[in-house]
Order: sequence, then C-alpha cells, then structure tokens
Amino acid sequence: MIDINAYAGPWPFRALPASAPSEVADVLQAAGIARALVSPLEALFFEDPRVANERLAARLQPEGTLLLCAVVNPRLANWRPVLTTARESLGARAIKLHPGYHLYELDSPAARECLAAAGEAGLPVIIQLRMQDARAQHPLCRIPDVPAAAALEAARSAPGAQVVLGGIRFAEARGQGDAIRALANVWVDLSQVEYVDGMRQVIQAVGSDRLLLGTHAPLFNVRSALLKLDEGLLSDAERAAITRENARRLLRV
Amino acid sequence: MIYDIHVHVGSAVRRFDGSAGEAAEEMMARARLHGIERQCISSLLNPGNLAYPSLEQVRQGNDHALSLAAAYPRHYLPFCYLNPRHERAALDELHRCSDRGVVGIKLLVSCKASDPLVDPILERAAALRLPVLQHAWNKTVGQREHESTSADVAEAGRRHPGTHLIMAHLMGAGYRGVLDIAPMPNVHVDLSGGEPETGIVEYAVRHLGAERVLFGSDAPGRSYGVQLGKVLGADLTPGQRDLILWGNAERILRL
Amino acid sequence: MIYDTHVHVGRAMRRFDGSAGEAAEEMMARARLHGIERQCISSLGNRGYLAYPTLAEVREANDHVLELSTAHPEHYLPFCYLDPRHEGATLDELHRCSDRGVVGIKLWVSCKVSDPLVDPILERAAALRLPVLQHAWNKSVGQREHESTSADVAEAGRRHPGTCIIAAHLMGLGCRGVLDIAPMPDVHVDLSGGDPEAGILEYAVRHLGAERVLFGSDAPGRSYGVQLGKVLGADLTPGQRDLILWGNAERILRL
Repeated sequence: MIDINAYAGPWPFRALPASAPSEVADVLQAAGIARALVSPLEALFFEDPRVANERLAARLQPEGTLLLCAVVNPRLANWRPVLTTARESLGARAIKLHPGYHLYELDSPAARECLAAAGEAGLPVIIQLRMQDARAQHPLCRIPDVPAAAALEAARSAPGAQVVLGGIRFAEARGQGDAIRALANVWVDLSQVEYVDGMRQVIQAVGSDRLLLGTHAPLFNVRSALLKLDEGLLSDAERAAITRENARRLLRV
Repeated sequence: MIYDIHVHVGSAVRRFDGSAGEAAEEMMARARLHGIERQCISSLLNPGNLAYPSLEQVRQGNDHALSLAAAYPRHYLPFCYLNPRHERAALDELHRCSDRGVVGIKLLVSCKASDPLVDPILERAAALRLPVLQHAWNKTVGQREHESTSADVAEAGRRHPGTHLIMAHLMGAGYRGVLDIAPMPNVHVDLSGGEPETGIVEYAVRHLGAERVLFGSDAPGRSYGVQLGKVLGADLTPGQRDLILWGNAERILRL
Repeated sequence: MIYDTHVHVGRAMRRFDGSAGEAAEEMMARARLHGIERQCISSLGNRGYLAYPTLAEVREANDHVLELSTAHPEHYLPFCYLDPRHEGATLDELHRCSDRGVVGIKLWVSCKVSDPLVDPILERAAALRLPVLQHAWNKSVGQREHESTSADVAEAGRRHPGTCIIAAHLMGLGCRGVLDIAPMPDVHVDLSGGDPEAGILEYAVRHLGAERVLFGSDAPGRSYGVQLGKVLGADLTPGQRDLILWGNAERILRL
C-alpha cells in the first residue's frame, strides 16, 4: 500500500507516539504500508519550510519506506528555488502547501504560479485543507481551514498541476463530487474522510480512480485509516486503485 | 463481541443510498462487519439533532429507539434521551422508558450536566441503576451555551458518586477532560467521535485505568472502522483492550 | 576592534544611575569592556525617539551626534537622521551633515523606504558614498503605519542598486526578510535589536554570505553583551565572524 499523506517530526501540542522518521516508518510498515509520502511537521511553524524539508530529507533512508513531500510556501521569496530543487537535491516526489498555516490565499498570484510551476516540474501538489479539528486547536493557535472550493478553483486555474485535496472532509468531498470529477487533475486524500458509509459514498461521488489512501500518521491512528477501507466493502479493483495504483501513477513509483 | 456505547438513530438518518427509509439495518450490518454486535442507541429526534427538544419530541424519539430495540433485541440496546429542562416530566419520561426496558440515559446539550436541573435525573439514574451517557466537549470554537465541558461532568460526578456517568467524546474532552474526571471513580469516558488522534487513548488508560474507558463510535456521523482503529491501533495490553471493547460495557450495563 | 553599526544617542538619555547628564560616555565605556571600539551613532531626537520629527528637531539631533563624534573622534562615528517627508529640506540637511563629516544616513519609521519620497535620499546617498541604515521589522503585532518591512527594503534596493542599504534588525526581519533582500547584493542586514535567537544568524550567512551581515547592538535599549553573544555563540568560521564584527563595517564605511 502507498500512503499519500503522512508526516514526521515533532508536534507542539501533544506527545506523538511516533515522531522521528524511523518511528513513523516502523508504524506504517507494521500496518502493511510499503511506501508513504511524508512531509515535515516543523514546516508548518518554521518561517522557512525549506529548512524543515532539508532536515527531514537528511533523515530519510534511500529507497526506504518514506518518500519526501517537500513543503513550499509561495509567500516566501524563495519558493521557486525550493520547488525547483526539491526533486533534484532532496529527492522529493511531491510538494505540499499549507495555505492556512502560511497565511496566503490560493488565488494569490504566487500560489497560482507555484501550482503551475509544480505542474511543469512534474511534482504533484497536496493542498492541505486542515491539520486538525478546529474545535481541538490551541485557543491561541486557531488556524483557519482552507475551503475545498478554493483548492478546486486553484486546480482549475492550473490544469497542468496534479492536485491532491489533503485533509478534505467527507461532506466536502461528497458536496464537491461533481466539481472534482469535472477536473482531470484532482485527487482526494482519504485521511480525514469519515462517515459510517463514507467510503462507498465518496467513491460514488468522485470515483475510485480519484481516491488515495492517506493516514495522517503519526497524528492519526493508522489502523483507523485501514479499517475505514474495510468498511467500504471495496472490490479488489477498487482497493487496489485506492491503496496503490492511483498513487503509483501519480507519484511514478 | 464488541459493544458500541454511543450510536445515534432516528428516522432522519437516511439509508446510505439516499433512498427512503432509515439506515438502522444498514448501520447494524456495517457494525457487524467489524465485530460490533451490541450497540447502545439513542434517538436525538426526527429530524436531526434537536438541542432543545419538546417533551413530545423526546417521547417520539424514545419510542423510536425502543421500537428498534424491540425489532433487533440481540443487537440494539436502547438508551432514553431526556431534556432536564422538562423537570418533573423528564422523570416521568424516564420511568416510562425504564418500564419499557431502556438500559441507559442519554443527555445532550440542552442543559449543562452541572446544572441543578440535572440532579434529579442523576439521582434517579442511580436508583434505577442506569448509566448516564453525557455529551461533553471542551471546544476552542463553537461551544454551545448549555453544552457540558469536562468540568461540568466532573462536578456532576462529584455530587452523585453513586451514579455511573459516561462522559462522551474522549477526543473532545482531551487531556484536560481526563484529568478533570480522574478523581471520580464513577465517571467513565467513551472514545466516540472526534479524530483518531494517536496517544490520547493510552493517556486516558494511564490516568483513569482501562476500567473507565468504553468504546463508542458516534455513528453514523463517524465511522466504525475509524473509531475502532483508535482502540486496535493503541498501545494497550490485550486485557485493557478487552475491557474497553466489551468488559466495561457488560459491567456497567449489568448484562 | 569591533564595529557596532547601530547605536542610539540623545540628550534625553540619562546616565545609568539616573543622575543628570547624558549616558554617552558611560555607553562608550561599557562598549569598550566588550572590545567594541567604534560605534555608529545616530540620534532620533532630543526628546526621546521621534517618529515624525520636525526639521528643527532633526537638525538638533544631528548637531548632537556631530558634537559627540567631535568629542570622541576615535570612538563615535556619526550618522545623520533624516525624515524623507521634509523633501527638499531633507537633502539640504544631508548636505549640511555630509559637509561636517557624517559617515552614514539613518532612516527610521516616518516613511516606508519603498515610498518614492525616499528615492532622492537613496540617490544622493550613492553619490555621496554613504550607507543608509534603514530600520525595518516584520511584525506580528504593532507594525507602525509607515514602518518598513523587508519587502520595502528589498524594493528600495531593487530601485537603487548602487546604494549601500543596511536593513536593521535581522531578528525583526526573520527568515522572510533574509529571503526578501537576498537577490539585491547591495542590501545588507545588521544584527541589532531583538532577542538573541539561535540559528537565524547562520541562516542569514548561508543565504546572504557573511559579507552582507553587520554587527550592531541597538544600545542602549539592548545590551552589548547580549547582542554580541549572537555572533560569538553562532556556528561561524573565524573568517565569517571577523567580517561581521569589523571587516564589513570597514569596507562599507570606507575607513
């Protein structure tokens, strides 16, 4: 299985059972995940996320379970070199945007240019809509969610970019189902999609070819992500697409 | 045999394919896929969740939960929903439901658990030996006016040491919530709802003991798999896991 | 021989024991304890730091600075304070001070440095070969209406590639500030002010080169020891450290 949305590093608000890249890799491997796209949690809080990308890249095993997803902040003057060197110098397989944490709008010129540049560089872009339930945030660290519609509009504006809606919720994915299906360059990360019949309904809404297994590890329990799949009563073909084939095509692994 | 202490039913919970009729059978079938064979249900009314239901609405909801329990007695265990603002009438409704076999009481957000209006219900619950499942959440944003926090549940537990209280939503109550209820051995917590955050189940077990932690899903708004993953993915001994998944529920429900 | 490129003087600054008279001699003595033997001084006014000084106030302040540098020529190097809002009169004041030997220009918060009002000063500074020390800060709270950010400094540097601009306050500018000014080789940064946060100096050296980073204290509001610790405690080669503490200042000030 391939996990499209995992993290490594410390989280300031609680002790994570796994935090170091090797610990995260162990947890994922134990759950049967062979490859995971992992981005640095520090990048949410560091002024220059490149520093966090480099620190994480230096701690990843070559050919190991974890593949780097580099965080880019288009609001910083260095976003272009960070993006263009992410693959060559750090081995990144994708980039991740955190507009909520890095305080920019997805329709800003820099964000649009960044998406287009990622498309040209052949790097998929995860747009992370949220990291946690807003009700559970630290009272003085209230990071706004990114509207799914804004991420879709950004994807529409950059047809050459491959956009993954990270941390999207069930109701958002279902509500935007038609819009997602209408855009050939959009995928849905399942890490925060939840409803008792959520898997089936989200498959109906967007199609199993657009869904990607995501764990949100080490913040979320990996077992939850896997049991969610079981609950979806997936056909073998659907399961293969969601847990492996879609990501394999997207990441070219 | 897993017990799910926290499930919502109601005719507003539509079938998964959107067709007419309610999802109670599908919910049950889905739960059984995960080995969840007993579910404690309450109806938060039709349609949707009414925060301040009328007496008539409460009765309707409870009749619905009772009818489902009667139809599926091996699977559904009925809790009765009460609004403490109905005062004496709430107690009458409790007795009506108790006579018809409810095994617990569900309180939501019409009144904080620490409000003296709730005292008669908590006293009667002890006399009837019925556990009280009290919604609670410590929210950064969106706390409702009469929504209980863990401090309210702790206060209720302190005042009613003979009543089994189950504070719903460990992930909502958070670490603060665990510490708030820890001194009251009659106050338990369920795992229902919220995100499957790592580490907090272990924290609750460490501070409360596994004996005071119960599995619940909060379905259908949350999914069985994700919620069950909180337990199956946690660093627990098999004994602790069994208590959380069924032992505690059997003890508290006196089955 | 350490150069401190960012020091404030003013007739309103009292002696450290609170007694009458100003602190200029004590400041100098304290600096020498740390090996700081050259200090670039400017006065933001004689009635405290004046954000929007009158022309007369600017002249009085500059006269005071020149007085001190005349009295202690081996220690104090005078910068003249200007308010770009005085337009033509500002350039007159610049020439008056230049004729009397100032070695640099100090701009504070009366006008963003990207404002066209500042262009004539930046042009004249290049002609006179005087560096411009521009206060700048990227603040989460309390940004003043006309206070420059790193983006303003970068824009000024882009427009005036022949002018040596020193963006004050690396700790106020942060990583974002470093990245903003990086493409403009004539824009430097000083270390003055802010807390002695670990790591940021190394970041600046990595992205700008040690040639573009200067030591400054922001005394007396900040202390020599704490500010100097930023350099002495950083992970730098001896060559980088020497550039920051004196080499760059000697080059820029053409001493």
